Amino acid sequence: MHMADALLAPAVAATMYVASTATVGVSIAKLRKEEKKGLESTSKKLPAMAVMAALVFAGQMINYTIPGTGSSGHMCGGMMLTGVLGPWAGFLSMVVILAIQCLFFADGGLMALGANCWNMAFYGCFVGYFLIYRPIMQSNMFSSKGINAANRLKIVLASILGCVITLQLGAFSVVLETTASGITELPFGAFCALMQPIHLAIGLIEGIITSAVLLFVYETRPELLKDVKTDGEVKNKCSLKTTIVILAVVVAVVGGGLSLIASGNPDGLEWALFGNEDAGYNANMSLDEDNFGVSSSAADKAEQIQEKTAFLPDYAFASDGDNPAGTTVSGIVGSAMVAGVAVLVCLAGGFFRKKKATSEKK
Amino acid sequence: MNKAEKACEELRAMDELAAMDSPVHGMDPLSKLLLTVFYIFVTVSFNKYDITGLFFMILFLVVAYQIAGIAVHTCFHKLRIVMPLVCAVGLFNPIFDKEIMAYIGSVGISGGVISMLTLMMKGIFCLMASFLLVATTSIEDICRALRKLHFPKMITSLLLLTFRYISVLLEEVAIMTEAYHLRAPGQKGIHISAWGSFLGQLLLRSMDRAEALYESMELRGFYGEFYYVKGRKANSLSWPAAFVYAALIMLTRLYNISDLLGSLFV
Amino acid sequence: MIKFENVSFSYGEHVVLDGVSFEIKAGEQVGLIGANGAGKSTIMKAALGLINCDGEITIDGMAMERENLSSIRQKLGYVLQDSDNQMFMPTVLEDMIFGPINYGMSRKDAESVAEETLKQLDLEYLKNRHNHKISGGEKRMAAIATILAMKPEAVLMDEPSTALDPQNRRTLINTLNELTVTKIIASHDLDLILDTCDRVLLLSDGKIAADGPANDILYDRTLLEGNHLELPLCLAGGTYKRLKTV
Repeated sequence: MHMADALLAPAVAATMYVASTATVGVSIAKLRKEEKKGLESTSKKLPAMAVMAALVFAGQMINYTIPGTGSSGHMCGGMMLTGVLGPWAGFLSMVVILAIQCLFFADGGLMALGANCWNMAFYGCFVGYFLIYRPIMQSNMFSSKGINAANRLKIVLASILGCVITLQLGAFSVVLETTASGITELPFGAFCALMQPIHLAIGLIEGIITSAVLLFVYETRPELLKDVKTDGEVKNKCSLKTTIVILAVVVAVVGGGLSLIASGNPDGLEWALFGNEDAGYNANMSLDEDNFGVSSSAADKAEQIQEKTAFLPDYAFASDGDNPAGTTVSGIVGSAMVAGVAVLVCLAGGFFRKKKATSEKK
Repeated sequence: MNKAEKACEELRAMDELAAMDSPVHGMDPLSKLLLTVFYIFVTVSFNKYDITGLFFMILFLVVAYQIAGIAVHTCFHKLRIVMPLVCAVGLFNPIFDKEIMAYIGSVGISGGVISMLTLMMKGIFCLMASFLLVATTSIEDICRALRKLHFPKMITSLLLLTFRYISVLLEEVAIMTEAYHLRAPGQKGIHISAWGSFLGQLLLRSMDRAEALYESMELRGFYGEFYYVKGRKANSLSWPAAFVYAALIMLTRLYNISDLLGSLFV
Repeated sequence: MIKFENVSFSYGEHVVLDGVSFEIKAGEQVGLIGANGAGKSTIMKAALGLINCDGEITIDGMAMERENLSSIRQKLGYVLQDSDNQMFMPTVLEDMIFGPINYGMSRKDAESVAEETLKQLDLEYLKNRHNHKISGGEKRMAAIATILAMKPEAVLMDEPSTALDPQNRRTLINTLNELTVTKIIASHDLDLILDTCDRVLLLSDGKIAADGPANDILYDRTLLEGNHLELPLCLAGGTYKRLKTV
C-alpha cells in the first residue's frame, strides 16, 4: 500500500504532509505530557519504541504461508505496535519505519511519505486503537466465558476488526489521494472496487497474524499488553452494545459522508477526477486545502488562480488540437536527442569509473 | 538467501555507496535533501500529457549519478517495489482515455497511452532521485539536515536508534527463518501453527533487549539527550551548485527544452 | 569499595539472592562464578541500583539510595553481555562520548578522553566505524572502551568472553590484566577467571557457597562439581571427558 511519488500531485502530497506532521507533533506532546504526569518517562520509552520499530520492520521480512492457498502474506504492524506501545508511541514508531523504508528500500516515495504515514500509521494507530482496540478491551463482552477466555476472544476480535477496518480506510485514502491528484483516468468507483476487496483479504490475514502474536504475548507476558486487564477488574465503561453502536456510527459517518460527497456533489468529483490536471500541478499552494478536490467552487477558484499564476505554457498535446503532429515531431526529435545525450553521459561516467578502478589497481 | 538476509544485504550495499567519495557525497546534506525534494516536486508537477518536457528531466539525474560515480542501473532493482502500484494505476489510462493525440507515422497514440508513460516516467525519476540522495548521504547526515530544519529531536534520535537495531533484528529474523526451514523443508513460509510464536518470541526478546538498552543508557547518565559527532565538512560550493541545479530544473519546467531542441532541426 | 550485607532479592515467589554478604576492596580482581540462574547478573544489577533489594548495599561508602545513584553509577562501569545492547549510537566514537558528556564533561574533553582510551586499547582504527558494521570481537572491545572512557573506579563485566574467537579472547584477557581498576567479572569461562582474577565468589542458589583466592577455589574439583561447575580446562589437563574416565 506504499504510494510512490508519481501517484500524488504536489498539493495533495503537501496537504498530507501537513496532516501527518501535525499528528507527529500531537503525539510528541502527548508523550511529554504523560512523562510529566509521571506515568512513563520518554527516555525509557525511546529504546522500546526503537526496538519495536526495528522488530516490525524485520517482521515484515517473514513470509507466512496462508493455509490452502500456497501464497504468503506478511504483516504491517500498526496494530501490534499500538497494542504494546500505546497509540502515540506506536504512531511515532510507524512513522520512523515508513521513513526508513522509503529512504533505504525505495518502498514509497520521499514526497509521498506524508500520505503514507497517514494511510498506514494514522489509521492503524489512532482509529485502530481508540475506536476499536481499546473499546473492545475495556468492554465486558464474552465475560460469561471466564476472564482468560474472554480476554483471548477480545484480542482476536480487536486485532482482526482493527486490521480490516484500518486497512480499508487506508486503501480508501489511497484511492482518494490518487484521484484527487488527477493521476488516473480510472473512475473513482471502479478504483474503489479494485482496491477495497484486495485490502479486505490482506487485512484479514494481517489481523489473524496480529492476533496470533498478541495472543502469544498475552499467554507468556500479559503485563506487556497494558490495555488487557488480567485481574478481572474490567472497567465497565462500555458494553458490547455500546461498542457496536460506536463502530456503527463511525462506519456510517465515514461511509455516509464520503458517499454524500461523491454523489451529492458530482461536479466536485468530476473536477477531482478529470478537471484538475492544471490546478493540481505547478505546486499551487494557494489552493483551499480543506476543500481541495471536493467542492466545485474551490475548483473554480483554483482554475482562476491557475490562470493568473500559470507560469507554464501548456504544452499538452491536446491543446494543440489543430496540428498535434507539429509539436510532437520536434518534441520527439528533441527527446531522442536528450536520450542520446543521457546515454553518452552514462557511457562517459562508466568509462571514467573503469579508468579510476584500473588506476587504483595499479 | 531469505528475505531478511536480502534486506541486510541491501542495507549494506547502501552503506557502502554512501561511504564513497565524490563531489556529490561531499555536498552539504541539507542542500542535497532540499534539492532532491525540489526535483521530485517539479517532476511530479509536469502535465500528464507533457511527455517530451518531462523526458528532459532525466538528464539531471544521469549527470548527477555520473558525478557521484554511481552507475545508473544500481537503482533499478529498487523499482520492483513501488512500480507495481504505479503501473497498475497507469495501465487503466489507455482504456479510459482513447482520444488520439499524436501520430507516429500512421499509428495513432491516444492520450491514455501518453499519460500512462508519463506516470511511469515520473515514478522512475522520483525513485532515482531519492535513491541518489540516500546513496550519497548517510542516515546520520540526513538526520543532521532534518535537525537544521528543526525537526523534533525525538524523531531524529528515534530514527537513528531504530536504524541501529534494524540490522540486529534482521539478522535475528534471518537466523530464525533459516532454523525454521531447516526443520521444515518444503514449506514456503511459516506454517499457521507457528504464526504467533515465531514473531511473538522475537517480540518478547526484543522487549528484553529494549530493557537492557535502557539500563545501559541509564547507567551512563542518560537524561534524554543524544550527542552526535559532526559530519564530514561540506563542500563550500554545495549551496551555489544546488541553486544552479535548481534553476536549471526550473527552466526545464518552464520551457519544453526537448521540444525547443527538436525544433532547431525539424 | 563494594559492600553487600545480607542482601536478598526475589521475583515474586522465586528467590534469586538469599542473604548475600561480601566486601570487595579497591583494586581487587574478583571472579563471580556459579551455575545458570545462581544470581551472578542479579548481584551486578543490585550493585548498580538497577533493582531494589532488601539488605544493605554500600558503594565506596555511599548507601544505595536515590540521591546517591548518579554518583554510584559514575564510579561503576557495567559491560553488558550483549554488546549490541550497549552500542546504540551510530558510531563507536559517539558511543564513547555518550557517557562522559552525560556526566558533565565538555564535548571536547570527552572526545579527547575517548581517543586516549582507544589508543590505550590499540583500537584507534575503530573510532569512526559504524556500530552495525563492526565484527563481534571488535564490538566487544569497543563496548569495553565505552565503559573505560567514563573512567570508572570499578568495572563490572557480564560474560565478557562469549562469542569471541580464541585470539580475540586472549586479547581480551591481556587487556583486562593491564587494567588496574577494580574488576568484577561474571563468567562461565573459568579459564578466563583463572587468568584474570585473584579472588573468586562462588554462588549457588542465591547464596555464597565459597569466597576465597582463585587459586584455591578453581583448583577444588569437588567444590566446583558440587555446584554444577567443572575444573577449568587448563587444570583438567586435556579434555575433561578423558580426565573423568582415568
